[in-house]
Amino acid sequence: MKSRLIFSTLAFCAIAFATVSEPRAEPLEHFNSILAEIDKQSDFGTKDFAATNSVVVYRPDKAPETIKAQVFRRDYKSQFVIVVLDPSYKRGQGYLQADENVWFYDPESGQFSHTNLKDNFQDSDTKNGDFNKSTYAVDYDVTAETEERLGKYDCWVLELAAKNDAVAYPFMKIWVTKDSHLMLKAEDYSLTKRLMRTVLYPSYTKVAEHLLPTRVIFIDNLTQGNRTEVTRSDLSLSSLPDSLFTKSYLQRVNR
Amino acid sequence: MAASMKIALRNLSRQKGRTSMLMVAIGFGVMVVTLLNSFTAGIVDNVQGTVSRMLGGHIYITGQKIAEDGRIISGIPEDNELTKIIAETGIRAEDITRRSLANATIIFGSNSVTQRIEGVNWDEEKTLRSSLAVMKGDLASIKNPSSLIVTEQVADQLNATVGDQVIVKLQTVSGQQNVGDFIIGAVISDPGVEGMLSAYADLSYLNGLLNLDPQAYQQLSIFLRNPGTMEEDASRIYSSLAALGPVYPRDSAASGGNNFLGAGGPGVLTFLRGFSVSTLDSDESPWQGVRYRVTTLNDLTTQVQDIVSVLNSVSFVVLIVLMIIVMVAITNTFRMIVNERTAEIGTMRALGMQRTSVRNSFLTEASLLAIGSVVAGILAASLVSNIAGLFTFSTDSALYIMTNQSRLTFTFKQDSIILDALLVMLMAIGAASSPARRAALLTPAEALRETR
Repeated sequence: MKSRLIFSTLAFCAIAFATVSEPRAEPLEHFNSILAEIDKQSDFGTKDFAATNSVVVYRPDKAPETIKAQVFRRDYKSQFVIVVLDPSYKRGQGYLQADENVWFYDPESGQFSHTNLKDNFQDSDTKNGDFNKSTYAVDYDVTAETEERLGKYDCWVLELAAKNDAVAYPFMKIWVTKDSHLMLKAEDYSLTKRLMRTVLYPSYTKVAEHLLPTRVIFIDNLTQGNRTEVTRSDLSLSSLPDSLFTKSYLQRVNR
Repeated sequence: MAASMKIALRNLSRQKGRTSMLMVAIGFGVMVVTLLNSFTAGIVDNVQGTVSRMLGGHIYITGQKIAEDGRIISGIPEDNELTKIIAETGIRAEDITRRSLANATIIFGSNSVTQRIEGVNWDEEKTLRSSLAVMKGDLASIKNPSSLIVTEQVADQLNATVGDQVIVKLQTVSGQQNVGDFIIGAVISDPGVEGMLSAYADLSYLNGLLNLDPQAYQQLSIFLRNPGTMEEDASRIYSSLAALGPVYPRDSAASGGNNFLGAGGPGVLTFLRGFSVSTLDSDESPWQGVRYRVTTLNDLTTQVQDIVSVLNSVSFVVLIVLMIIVMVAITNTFRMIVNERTAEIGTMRALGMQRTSVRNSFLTEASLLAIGSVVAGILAASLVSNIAGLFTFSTDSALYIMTNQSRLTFTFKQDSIILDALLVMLMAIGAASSPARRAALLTPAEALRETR
């Protein structure tokens, strides 16, 4: 009995020591460069970007609501415009980003109101900022990494901590494929380190040299049954007129 | 004068039916206008009363500072000189409250409600504690920092009750997502429109989730002993603050502009949304330290006051239209009276009565008629308002905010009533003046001849 106890203790210590002292396979700089690579995929630089987004919002005890929205982006100027096309009672509502500020236009009142990138898009589980380019390398530091197999993909699981308080989620965990550095899953945590949202990226498509997720699933981990699925289509890198990124465009578009 | 009064009174009582009909016509007009004016005044009083209770006062002081990265963040530090400045202005405050605000989502299972949560210092907020109508639970639960006081409507929507643990999702002052655990300590009745009354939590605990210092706050509210001095008191505070550091211009409170309280000016709903992070406007200069903003209840209810001033204008037009109709009636009636009394006038003139006395007797008759009608109209308005006050409105009704404890109230303003009464009297005298002059110009011989 005594020898079994000693053996168990030794075995536990050995496992614990092995876990703690396991040499880091990759230096942290390598993981920061992965973040930069992810950001590069979603940043169109001097090119404009347009896509149609179908946002399906699932709520318990309610029929799913589909919101169709046209997104226009000009990343080098940190500008985006989102125009809601459907449902009819929301048609013409729009968002205009100018740096940190986002203006929401309501055609019914004809008024603009202030919102920001961290606010939810409509009443969905997506944030306004989710339609923008990602800036993980700028905003986050990799604090820990592990390996995990997600489905048939070998992934790095990177734990991120925000470098500043300007981002919506102070802590994140992301699953990135080891070979192509595609993000397959993300978990967003609150300042109190509570899991708030899980984001899944099940499918990608190639637009020019960029690999973009065409379907994104947002799962609210706080409210049971809340989920939003975003499907992107009609992706384009054609140039857009300057007049599109203005308040007057949002006012005109519904006329 | 006494003779004119005597003659006028006798003449009014001679034709009781005709006098009564005229009084009803004039009195009805007075009643309608008095009711409209007192109704709109009541709406203003009730809306301001409800909003002042919801926001904890009549004057609100908020602060904002520029973070290192240029974003504007709301908050007033604990060790600020604000309290001292307010004390030095000599304002007679019933209560001063310091609160933090969060536009949060309260989650219980699969149910969630968006709700404004106010962090309050329960030791200081005795007025709030005494005004909360507890339906379930006990306010003693506030000793637990994670206790959350919610309204009955919120508890129903969450399907939660006292003792249930709920999750609260909110944004920190810098806009980061945060989550906290709360226990429903008590359920209170909502004396405002559904959902307009906040949920209440411990100030330090909420500050922790907002990423603020435990004793910091975002809004200082002053409940005045006399709300009538609101603008004057706010100006005094503003001047004192302006002498010490940066302040948000007072005249821009009504016009909006800066997105400190959201676009479109600080209307009630914008104010209730709470504070969000923003950046400097392109035409705005940066400042050092905390920049204060002084807002009053009047600034927040400008939209209501605009509606009321339109209603007041409408009621004035109604009064004028009604009075023109009544003036025509008075003129015709007095013409008829002059015709009927031609012989009588001739006899009185033959006996030595002066022209001015004849004219004055008719004008006095019209004045007495107007005074009687005004008194009757005001009494009728008072009766109607009392009957209307018996009806109650549901708390679900959008009109609830315009009521006082679910009942419509009518505020009779003395100056408005006096003005209306004077106007009615002047119009009645004006309407009777032409027939009165005609009567005064009659010569005794012609008057006596015409009747023959």
